[in-house]
Amino acid sequence: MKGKTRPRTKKVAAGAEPDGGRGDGQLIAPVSRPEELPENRLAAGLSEYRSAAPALMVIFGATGDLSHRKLLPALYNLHRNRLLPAGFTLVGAAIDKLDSNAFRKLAIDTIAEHSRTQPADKEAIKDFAKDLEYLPVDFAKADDFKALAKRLAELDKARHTGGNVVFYCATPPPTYGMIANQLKSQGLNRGAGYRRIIVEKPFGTDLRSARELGQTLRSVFPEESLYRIDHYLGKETVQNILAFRFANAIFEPVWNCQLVDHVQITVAEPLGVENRGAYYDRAGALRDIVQNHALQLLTLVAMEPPVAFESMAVRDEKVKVLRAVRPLSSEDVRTQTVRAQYEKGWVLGEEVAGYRDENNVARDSETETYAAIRLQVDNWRWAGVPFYLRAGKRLPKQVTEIRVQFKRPPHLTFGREASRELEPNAIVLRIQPEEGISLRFGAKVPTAGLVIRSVNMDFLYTTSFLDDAPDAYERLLVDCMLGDPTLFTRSDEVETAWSLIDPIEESWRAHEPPLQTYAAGSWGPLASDLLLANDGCEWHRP
Amino acid sequence: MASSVARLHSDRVRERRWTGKGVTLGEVLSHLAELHHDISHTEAEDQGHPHPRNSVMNLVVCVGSQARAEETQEVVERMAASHPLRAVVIRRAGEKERPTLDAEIVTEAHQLVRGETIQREQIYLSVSGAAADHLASFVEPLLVADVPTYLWWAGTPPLGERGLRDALAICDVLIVDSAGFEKPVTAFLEFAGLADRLGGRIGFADLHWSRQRPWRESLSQFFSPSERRGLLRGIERFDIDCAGEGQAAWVGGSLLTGWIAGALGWRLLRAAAVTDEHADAIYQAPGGALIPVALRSSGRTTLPRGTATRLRLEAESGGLRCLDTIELHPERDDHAHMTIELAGQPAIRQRLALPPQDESELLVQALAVARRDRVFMRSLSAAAELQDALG
Repeated sequence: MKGKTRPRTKKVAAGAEPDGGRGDGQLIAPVSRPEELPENRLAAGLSEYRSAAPALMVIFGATGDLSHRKLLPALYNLHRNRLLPAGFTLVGAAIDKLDSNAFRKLAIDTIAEHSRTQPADKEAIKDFAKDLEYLPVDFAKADDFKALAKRLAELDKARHTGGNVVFYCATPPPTYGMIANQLKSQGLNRGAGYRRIIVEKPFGTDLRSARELGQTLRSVFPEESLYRIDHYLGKETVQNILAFRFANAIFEPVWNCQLVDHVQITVAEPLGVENRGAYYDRAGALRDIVQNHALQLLTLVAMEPPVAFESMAVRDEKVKVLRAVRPLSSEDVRTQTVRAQYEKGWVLGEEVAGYRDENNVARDSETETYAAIRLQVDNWRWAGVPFYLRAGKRLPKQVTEIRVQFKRPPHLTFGREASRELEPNAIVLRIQPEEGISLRFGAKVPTAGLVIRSVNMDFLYTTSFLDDAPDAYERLLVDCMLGDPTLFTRSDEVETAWSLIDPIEESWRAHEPPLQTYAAGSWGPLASDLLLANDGCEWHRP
Repeated sequence: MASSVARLHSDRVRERRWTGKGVTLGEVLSHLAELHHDISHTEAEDQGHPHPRNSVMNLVVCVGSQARAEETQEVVERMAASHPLRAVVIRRAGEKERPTLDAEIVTEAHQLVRGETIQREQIYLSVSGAAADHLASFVEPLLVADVPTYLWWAGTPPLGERGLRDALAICDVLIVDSAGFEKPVTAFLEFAGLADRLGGRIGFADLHWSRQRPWRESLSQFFSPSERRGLLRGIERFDIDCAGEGQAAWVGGSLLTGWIAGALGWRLLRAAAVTDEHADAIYQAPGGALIPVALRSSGRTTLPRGTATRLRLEAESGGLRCLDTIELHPERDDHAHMTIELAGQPAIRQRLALPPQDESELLVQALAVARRDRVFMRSLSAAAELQDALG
């Protein structure tokens, strides 16, 4: 290994998406840019240590809930683990009339409360807060963005950030277009370094609005600079689905319609709508969870092996799966979907109100808090295998998992009586909590007779590895700064998902099938059980 | 890196224990199986079958004293709270004593939040007499099959002795802490020599390498921006100060210097001690440039010997000059400051958190890297070359 420096052919242009170096933005250009980008050989062996170039980050909506609960704590933990580059500076931008000192104080308090690492290191928080700034910004006022541009130019010069800026829209989706256009009007969408924008789900409320949003954002930033964040994809265990499937030789041969009977995807939570009643009553479980989280899980479990774990290859394969999902006709929606709303009941030992009694929810609301759908993936691998998706609020516990249930053996070698308690093989991929994988198989009960019973073999993700998993936002924020969009959602993925959801939504708004009810704390309505019973299946109890 | 050493409430831990003096290994094995069966079936309750074992490694720890045995058992216990393993702690009580084997077995089931359990099994053996030189013969039957075996030699490993050679035969990785070697320079050179000879068969790890990780990360990070990469070829000077006194302190500095030299292909031309506290070396970069390197002992004694207390790097490339300094707080060991001066512009100063790391956390870090850490091996080799040249 000693001796020559191995040159890499990668061009410097990596950090300059729109028109690197053209210089029509206000930020200064970096001091020098060699033609060939040599490898950072000191980074070798620091495998999980991924170091991004210095950058400025602007969080629009910096005084809001997402910023407080997730973004500031995630950035603090990156700072604490020395994963933010020297020079990194965060500019909070929101409508509140604060100064930087007040914002820092706010940040210190919120990080101490919400950081995943507790107790929070007070000195490290204070030190992180030194790199925070705040500017009051009304998204409708061009002058405010002018002031932002001026401040960013000053910071870029003082902090050697090479013109790199990440804009994070932690704001309601209707503001994304306005913010993007304001950035464009001040030339902040292009410049010497990279300019990237992160937007949070939901990406539209239907196919039409998703397309409109995509067009608006693309008129300001090129697609490769758009980072649509669905924090689910940043979870280690979601990524582990791909590792499980494609880093092992033994699972892919059985991962198809020859041996898989059906797949169940469950996204359950015990919480009600909390303080999101107004939003949730417009969205419902289908748009809030199924359109993104549940379909993401379906794509990961059903996709073909990508050529490599890189952004184009992975996202291409995910889109192929969504395109292979058979769209539901209005008749299919009536027979293959279930929508339901929770009534009062008991969850986690506490009596809770019904959905229509929640704050900011219409008393005659028809919004579903539970959705179950039967989908078919029309391709060679999955022909005839039903995929059952369910998502709901006020279910007995928080659990997200994928259950791949296999067919029964073709012949009962040990006879019907010996196999009476034997259930089909199943692989359960648990996303949360206590992430892991379990395999169910039959084993002989150690008795005088021959009795076969199902046993579970569990792999617990957290116990088998020696590193703490970072929060999803920590991973995704660094990915964005590094310019790796693999775990972000591409526009065609978003639009294809909406094209599957829109017909369901349309029928549901026409009250087809009728809205069911379920007691809070139960696993959903009877109709959901019947959805599977019609195929000779039943929901697994997670 | 965040700590992954968990702490569990005592009410979530179920324990079984057995102790025996003057026992045979057969008895130890028998009681181990009995305790394992007992705790597994207790955990199984009405499910009808015990939860399968989820061991991720065997950890064999060799110590020389009762006090050290107790310390290392605590380290292993903390680590095992979240990482199921079988630990075999061996106290070598000396060849000249009467041959005896004293043993203690602790098996624990840790109940996780959702109700799943993980198990820890720890076997403490006090071995005296000639058997102390035949560690493999009584460790091997105790190992869980099909998981890697790590041998942590807590103290200075007897590098030329049969006892270590015998133990190495059954392990996949040898872990030491070079900061604690009794004869630092000699032991370090012997350790590097052993790694050079056996590196193709087993892995080698050094807790001091883990201890230096924040310094390596921070220095590496400086070169992340594309416009600074060229500076890697333009390093003009590198200085490092290390905790401790005299030449012993330079061992840790050699490891960091070896890391840079190995990564960037520098060739050592000469090295010499200038005073008891200061040594100079000259390296040659692949392009022919000469790079002076200074190693100094800082005299600081609050840190493990050889821990970096200050790094200073000067570089120039394509008209871009830089000075990168990372300096530990003069009175506190829990943070350092990195100061970057680029092209004559105002300096950027960043505070680097260096939370104290106990042995369990260092061990976790050493275990978390690949079993064959090629960067460490390369750095170790280059560090040994420098130490050798310094005499």
